[in-house]
Amino acid sequence: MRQAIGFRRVFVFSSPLLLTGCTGDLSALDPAGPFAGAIANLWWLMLAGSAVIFLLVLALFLLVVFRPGTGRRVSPSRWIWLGGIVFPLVTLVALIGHGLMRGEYILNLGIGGEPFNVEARGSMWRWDFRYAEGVRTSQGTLHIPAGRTVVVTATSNDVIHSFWAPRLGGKIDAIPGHAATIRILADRPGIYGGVCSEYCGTGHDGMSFEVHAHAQEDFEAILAGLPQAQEPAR
Amino acid sequence: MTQAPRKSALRLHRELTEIWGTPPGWGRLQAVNHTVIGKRFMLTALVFFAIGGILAMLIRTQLATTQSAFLDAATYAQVFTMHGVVMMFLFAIPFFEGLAMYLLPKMLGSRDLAFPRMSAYGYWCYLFGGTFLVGALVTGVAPDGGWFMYTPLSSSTYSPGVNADVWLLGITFVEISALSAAVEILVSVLKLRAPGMSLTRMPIFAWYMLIVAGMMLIGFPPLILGSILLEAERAFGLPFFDPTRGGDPLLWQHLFWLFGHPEVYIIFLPAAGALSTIIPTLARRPLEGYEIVVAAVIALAFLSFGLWVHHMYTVGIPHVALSFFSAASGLAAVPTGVQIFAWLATLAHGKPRLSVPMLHIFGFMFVFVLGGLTGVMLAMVPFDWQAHDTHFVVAHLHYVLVGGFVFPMLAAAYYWLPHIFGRQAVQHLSHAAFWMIFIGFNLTFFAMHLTGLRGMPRRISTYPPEAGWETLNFISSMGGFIMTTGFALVALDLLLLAVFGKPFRRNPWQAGTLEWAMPTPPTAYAFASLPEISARADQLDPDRLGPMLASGQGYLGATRHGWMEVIGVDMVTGKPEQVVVLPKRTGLPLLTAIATGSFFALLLVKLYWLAPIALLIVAALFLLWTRDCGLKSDLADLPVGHGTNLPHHYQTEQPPSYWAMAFTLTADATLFASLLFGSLFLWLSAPNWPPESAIPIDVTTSLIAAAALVVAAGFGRATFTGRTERNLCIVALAYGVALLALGYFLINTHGEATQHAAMASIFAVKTYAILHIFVGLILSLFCLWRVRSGYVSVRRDLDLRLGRQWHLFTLTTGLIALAFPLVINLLAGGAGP
Amino acid sequence: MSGRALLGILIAWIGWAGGFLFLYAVQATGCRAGWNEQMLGPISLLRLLLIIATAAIVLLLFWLTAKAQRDGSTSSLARIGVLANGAALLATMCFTGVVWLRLCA
Repeated sequence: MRQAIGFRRVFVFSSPLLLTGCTGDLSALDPAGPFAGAIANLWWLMLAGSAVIFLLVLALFLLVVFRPGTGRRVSPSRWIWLGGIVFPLVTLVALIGHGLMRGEYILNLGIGGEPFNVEARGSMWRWDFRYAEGVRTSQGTLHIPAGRTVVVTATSNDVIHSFWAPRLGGKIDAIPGHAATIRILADRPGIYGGVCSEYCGTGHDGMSFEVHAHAQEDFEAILAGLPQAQEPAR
Repeated sequence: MTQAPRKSALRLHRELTEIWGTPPGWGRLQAVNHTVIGKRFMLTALVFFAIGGILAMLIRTQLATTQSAFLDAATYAQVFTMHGVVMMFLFAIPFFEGLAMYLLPKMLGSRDLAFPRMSAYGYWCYLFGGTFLVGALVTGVAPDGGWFMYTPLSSSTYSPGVNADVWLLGITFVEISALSAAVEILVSVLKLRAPGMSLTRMPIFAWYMLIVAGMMLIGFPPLILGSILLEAERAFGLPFFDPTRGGDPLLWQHLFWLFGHPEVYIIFLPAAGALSTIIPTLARRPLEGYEIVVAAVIALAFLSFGLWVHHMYTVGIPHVALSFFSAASGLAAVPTGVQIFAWLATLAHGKPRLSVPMLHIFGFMFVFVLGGLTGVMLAMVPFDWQAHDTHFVVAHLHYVLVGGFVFPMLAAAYYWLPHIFGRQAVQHLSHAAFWMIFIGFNLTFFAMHLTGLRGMPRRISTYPPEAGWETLNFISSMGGFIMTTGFALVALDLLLLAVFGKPFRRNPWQAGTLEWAMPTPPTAYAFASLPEISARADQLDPDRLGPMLASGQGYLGATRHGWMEVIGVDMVTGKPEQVVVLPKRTGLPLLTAIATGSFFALLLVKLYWLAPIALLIVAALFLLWTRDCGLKSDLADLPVGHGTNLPHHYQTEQPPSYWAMAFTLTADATLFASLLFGSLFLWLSAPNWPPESAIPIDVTTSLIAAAALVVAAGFGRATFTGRTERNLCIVALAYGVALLALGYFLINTHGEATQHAAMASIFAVKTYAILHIFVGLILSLFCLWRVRSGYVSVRRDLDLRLGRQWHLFTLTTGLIALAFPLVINLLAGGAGP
Repeated sequence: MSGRALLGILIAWIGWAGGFLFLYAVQATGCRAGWNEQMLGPISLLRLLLIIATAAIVLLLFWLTAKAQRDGSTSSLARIGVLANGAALLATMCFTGVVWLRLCA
């Protein structure tokens, strides 16, 4: 299944803008919901912090190499204890704590009432989605209600795949014999891109899908219009 | 016997060269000398680096434009898989092994490594295994499941071809060399040092390598186990990873990354060790914070084993478990920071010299710090949910590995090549080459962070134009070509150095380490006599020591019986305690490696019935190695100079081989523990448990085997008495009984082993026991032969003590293996016999 | 005796590694056995077990560190031991997640 699907937004932008910008139908930096948003925020925070630390370390290196003597006022053990232990330890404890808090937030956040459950089943090389306890199905397109948390349970028929709709949330591996979940959410109705992100054989490139987020009021009808499942859900 | 009168330096040189040298022509195949083997390792690794680099260029060509038709998806899969495999397994690890082999004896004031023949064997295994893999690439059947070979994609259902077998067998073959190098380095650093060199007087590089070797001892067995289990699944249908039969693909991931993440630090730490050696020399000041750096490296070594799951954040492991791994991954930045700031402090308090190695150290700082920072980002669970398996990770890992290994190794090359060739750089191309690599690298991989965050997954061969990744990819590809040109320039530059460099007298960097206290290029025997060390061995004066040692004024400054002698010391204090007589050069390592290779080749072509015969030949050849070992009569203590007399190592409590056995058994125990934990993991995590049919428990055979093992261990005593021969006969007999009992069990149950992973793991655990019993049998017969031939006496009981270690280990693991079916039975819910 | 001095600088980290594996095993076993759903007052049985295990690990490391330093040696190796063992104690921080994070998937 090698369709160039789901790259609509791209046409809006010209390519120079794309290079500098972070937008794109698969861009994790162009979040369209609170899950992807929380992670994108974390990224910008870490990027800023990293930039400062990187420049600091590099400046220190250049200073001690090109201006010998300037660093001599600080004793060697102070260099090591302050720069190598105290500073990274404090920064890291704060960051790890923050990261875990954010993870907990993402794992538990429910918006728009009871989460909507859907199963994503990967197989070489396509995605099948099952809704409502496996009664309804769709292939290659995942229909979700906008503004409501969706719990995606990923599994696989053959090898390991990975479900990833970058603008809506993180990824989850689809592993045969396992069923792991991830929460995604689209704030607004629209079409969002998704790909398989774990190498799964020669058809890996084309194993993309679309997520169609529908307004709450339309969603029941859309769901009812999907084909019935051939076999009952496992 | 007194020490011979002092001879002229030249005469001593001739005598020692006669003893230690490698003859030209076919004699080269017999080489066991650490200088020769070390150089071979490094040169071969560089050839593989070039091959890996060409593969990288193919990848970048493919990805430079959208919808590229340069390579088809199947070929591309082989190319990216082999790029990773070649760079990790055939370049990085062997290269630092070679560097360590070359440098360690010289830095520690010894003449060779503890087991020169093992280094030669390791080299041949590496060369053959690597050739095997690259040969598969040339013939188009190379591995194609990604360098970490996730199951079930690599299982026989989805990879029916020989490709995955090439990976599993080739890598296991190469890993033999890594494990033997690990044991070799551990024992050499701990036992073979100059007199007086206590642990804390060692040059810092030796500490790094000691710790790295320890990590390899624990880190490689899980990978070897995983490879064996997957090959067993592919070849014999034992379903360890097949979810339909109680196996679990996640077991592979755990085993692989339990190796794979420490592996990153195993690659980084030797490079950091080189930096900790080079930076102080260039700063004209000893390393600041020697003790805290050692402690930091120890911390890093352990932390690196506590973060393997950060490759598995997206498989659905609960958050609390992820938090252990996330925190450990983040905390690993602290000991890394300690090292970086120790280097900065050294530079700050020294008088840094701007030189070509310093340029590469700048490259290291720039690139590695960025890689470390993105590493901390990836350690944060939510961020990894987005970035995992995208080009962000590709960018990160190249920043870490190129920054943490390639740049330091380039610095090391410019620093130590004068030692290898005896010539100094002329430096026409060095700067241009550095800047091309540096700029090319950053162009390639900096852009790639963004490509990844904008959604480009790893390992796709084509992407549609609408994705908007083309510009970034094009930049990466152009950067890649610039970097490659830079590497070509470095190669040319180093070639020019080797050919046209200007010779120098001694110690061009004014270093304080012992490797410069010898003629360059180095002689086969390294030191004509061994120094006495009374200060930290990175603050010595090679210019004064060199001539002194060359004229035989140190220890062992005379030859005796044509023996290859070095001094063995107490592990901690460095007090001399034995004269270690090393075995002579021989063609046996090559022959043994050929036999080992034929074992793997037979497995690859599926001639399974022939493979055990190859294994028997390997065992027989290894027994031949012992012809050169041992003494037939007790010797008086040998004078080593300076009025000191030391016993021959065969007559001491803890000779190198004693520790080698202990370390080998440590690695072996890690493998066994991984197998047990792996089986329990299947019970915890795998679908389709418990098995439908009953788990076979044969009480009778188990009890017989257990009793036989107890008897074997009871009679396999360490001390030599008049009853030793009788005891050894009993040991052999008991092992024979255990072999029959367990063999009967295995033959009876091998059919069930393919039904369900529970049975398969019982089968694997018992096979492990039976192999150890078989080796025990061989060992006891070997000891019997040694006793009969007069190699063993009350003072020369090493063979018995080595056997003792093995018997106790076999007893412990054997009893666990025999009880194992009961445990599985209990866990699986009591489907009784 | 040499071996023991060497072991002394690694001992707390060996304990840390063992503790790490133990906690991971308890967590995984507990989730399979459903201990996370057996509530004991405000917290689940599994969380209680994990907290107790973590505390035990920290105490064990303190004990091991103290034992390794008992001979009061001030040699360079002993100082490395103090630093390494201290770092291991600090690294028990990795386990603090047991108090508040989600236990099972």
